[in-house]
Amino acid sequence: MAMKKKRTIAEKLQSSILNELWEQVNKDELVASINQNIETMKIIWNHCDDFKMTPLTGAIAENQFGMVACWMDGLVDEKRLQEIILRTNVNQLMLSGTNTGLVNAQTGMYQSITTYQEASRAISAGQIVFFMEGNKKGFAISVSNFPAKSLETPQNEPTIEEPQVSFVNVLSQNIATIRNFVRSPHLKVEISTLGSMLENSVALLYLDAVIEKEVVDEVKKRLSTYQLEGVLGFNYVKEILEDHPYSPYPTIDETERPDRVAVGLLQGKFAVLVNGSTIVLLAPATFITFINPIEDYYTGYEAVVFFRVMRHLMYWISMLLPSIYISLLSYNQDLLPTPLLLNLQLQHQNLPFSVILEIFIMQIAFEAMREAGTRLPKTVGQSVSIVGTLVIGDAATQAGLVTPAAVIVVAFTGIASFTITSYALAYTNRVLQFVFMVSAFLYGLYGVIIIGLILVAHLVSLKSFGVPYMSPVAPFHAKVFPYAFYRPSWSRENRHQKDISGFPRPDLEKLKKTK
Amino acid sequence: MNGLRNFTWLLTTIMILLLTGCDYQEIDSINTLLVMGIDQNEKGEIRVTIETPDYPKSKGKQQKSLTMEGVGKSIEEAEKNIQFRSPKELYFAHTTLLLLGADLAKRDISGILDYFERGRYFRPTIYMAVCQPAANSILSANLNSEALHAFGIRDLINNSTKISRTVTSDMIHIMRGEYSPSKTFGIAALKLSTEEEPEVAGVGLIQNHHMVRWIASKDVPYWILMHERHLYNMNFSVTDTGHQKINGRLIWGRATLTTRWRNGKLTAVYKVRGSGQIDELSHEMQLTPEELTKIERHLNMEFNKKSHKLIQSFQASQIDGLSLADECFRKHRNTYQSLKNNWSEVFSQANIQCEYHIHLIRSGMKK
Repeated sequence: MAMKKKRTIAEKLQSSILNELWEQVNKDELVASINQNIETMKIIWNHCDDFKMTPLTGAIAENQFGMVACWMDGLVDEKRLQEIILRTNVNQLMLSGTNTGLVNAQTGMYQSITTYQEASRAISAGQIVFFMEGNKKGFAISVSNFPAKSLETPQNEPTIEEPQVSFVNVLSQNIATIRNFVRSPHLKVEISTLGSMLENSVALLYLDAVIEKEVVDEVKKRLSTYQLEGVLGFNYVKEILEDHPYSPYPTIDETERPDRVAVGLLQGKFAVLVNGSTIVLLAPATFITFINPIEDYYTGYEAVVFFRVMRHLMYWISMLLPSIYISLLSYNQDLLPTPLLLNLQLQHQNLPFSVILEIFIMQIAFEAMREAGTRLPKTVGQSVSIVGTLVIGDAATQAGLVTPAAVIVVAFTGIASFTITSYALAYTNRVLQFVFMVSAFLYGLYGVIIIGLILVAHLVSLKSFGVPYMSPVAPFHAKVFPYAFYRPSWSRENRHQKDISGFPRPDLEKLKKTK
Repeated sequence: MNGLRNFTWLLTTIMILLLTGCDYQEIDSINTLLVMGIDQNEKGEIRVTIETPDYPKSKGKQQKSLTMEGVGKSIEEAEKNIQFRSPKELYFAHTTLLLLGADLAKRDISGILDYFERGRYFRPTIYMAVCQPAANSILSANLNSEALHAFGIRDLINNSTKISRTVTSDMIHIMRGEYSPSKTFGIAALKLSTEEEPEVAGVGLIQNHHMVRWIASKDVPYWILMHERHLYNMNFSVTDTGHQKINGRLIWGRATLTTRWRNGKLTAVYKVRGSGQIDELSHEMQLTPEELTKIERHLNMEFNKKSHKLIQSFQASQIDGLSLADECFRKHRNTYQSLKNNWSEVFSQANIQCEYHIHLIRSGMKK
């Protein structure tokens, strides 16, 4: 009977394609033999040409080195790497058996490594990991230099005035940018690692003096439930954190502006930053949050009232206008002024399609052009969306496929939707307007009202980390309500506080997530 | 319990979706009806004439109107006869104008008013007018200004409020005499001009759902002053003692009515105060305060004469066109109750006076 051969770690890895084994190897502790450590690391980083390993001075036996440094090419600062390697006094370290010399000589800061998992994580994070012969502990020194975008003007949330800064794709830089706006020890930053295979850093930021402690606990709890292999973007975390993941309405705000994060933190919200993402999540969020952009804080307060009311109006127009047009022309013609009805009837003479079809054709064409405009390079994209709409709209009218009135309705709906600054809310609108159109086709204004009532019922049932989504409208808060449509002048010092603290407080009893 | 709740939800949803009462009708499948003209023919049948827009087949051509007629024992039947000949479904919600033939209006319009009050599609803003000789002739006439009679005639009525009355169908209950059977109600009256074009020719007086009298345009302002007790912007043209023609404008006029009973006879006095101005003199004329006073006196006499003539015509035909019965009902209820069955005779023997005190503005006066 052949003896069952004990598999080495290397064999385990070579034969493993499953995560279970991978995890098993990762969790193994370092051994005193530097050669075995080197072997294991080579296998872990097999087929990774950017993984670098160099023996430092002082080979103590054949093929046996006193110390080895591992790092990932491109993630570390080359200059500092060379300095560290050249200045390392290996013999001294070997004699003393500690890493104090190196640490003192180079950086003054280090991180102990006890498992292969920690070693791999440190290397991925742009650190140099050192293994020493006869020592079961390695250590890592941070010399990371991630490729990062420079600070740029916000593309999705542009403002005419004030800070033209947006986030970059490096977590530490983003945290530093926020720190620049919120210079207070009250700003707490808690970084955790998510992803079972492709680990990534996620930071939780909040102002401990303002936020409810229970909200922070709830966020941590939800983050701890993350079970995916990796965190490739902010949306991975967003869907885990959301109270109502199946609702079309976003309950967590997204922003690329650090000033908006600062205002949010002051309002008692928390921010979640994902390494590699230029978008930061802000919650709790209400419906009003998505309608009112940060620019309101930089514009004269007199104009803000007008623009806020207009944005609310445009929001509902962008959702309901096509369906109201269909209702009025297919069911409720009596509600139209007589000259308008006659004009529309004249336009519809000899038209091959029904009202619903012509609006559908135009709306889908518009959506396609908008989508194409977004995907194409900026200069070409704008031309496609604007010129395309004009040319195709005009050509379709000339060809007798659609009426000029339908073109006006679709174009105005599109323009109204552009006033919504939140992309997440705009996407919701674009989908829901088709639902309303179908209901208008089936039941006229009655159908629009029915779907509207269902939507309102859904909206008032939503909550974001204990904050009712439609507050301060429902539930109605008389003191806070005006601030949904109005921003006070900063001329009185307590006004700013009122506006900031006007954000509704979470109902702690309703904090628990519902799925 | 859950089953019952689910069943209730299901039932409610089905009811919501199936019992809507909404009718799908494409905009190009309806024939929008703009005007309805209702007459009565020699056989006593109802003749309905409708106007709908006639859309041109090709672009660039002007929109025209299409007139269709139907006869039946009732309006409904006449409409059905039209519907049989119409390629599209008749759509009544945008009826803008209702024209009633004078012959029909003189007999009884209660049935017609009832039809319009009950119809769910009819708006309360339908303009109403009576036509001489028939609504059909007005709708068949040429209109130079508008392609559609609906808008042309509606504007005509709207712009002639000084010589006519604008009435919409929300006043049906007044026409039916629901509030006061003795109340007289004025409605625009149309006829064909010598050029065969529709024109506003005065007011048809409706009393207790009958047209009782036709007042010519020239008499309408005096009727309005006495009946409604106020008038604005009435043009006048008088010839003064020196046979000079003077054109002017009564800016405003207000009448107060005093009624009293003496020996079973009614005495009614209209005191009209107002202000006017002279717009145009027939030749170069020196206006002095004395001259103006003379003109004022002459103007008052002229107004008085014309009003008196109108009153006399009312009394001669025993038609209370001034709604005096209504006034007496409010002020002398007991006396009115005892005489109401004999009111026509009481009215014809009443002593009705008019006193005009028109003041002309002394602007541009040369001393």
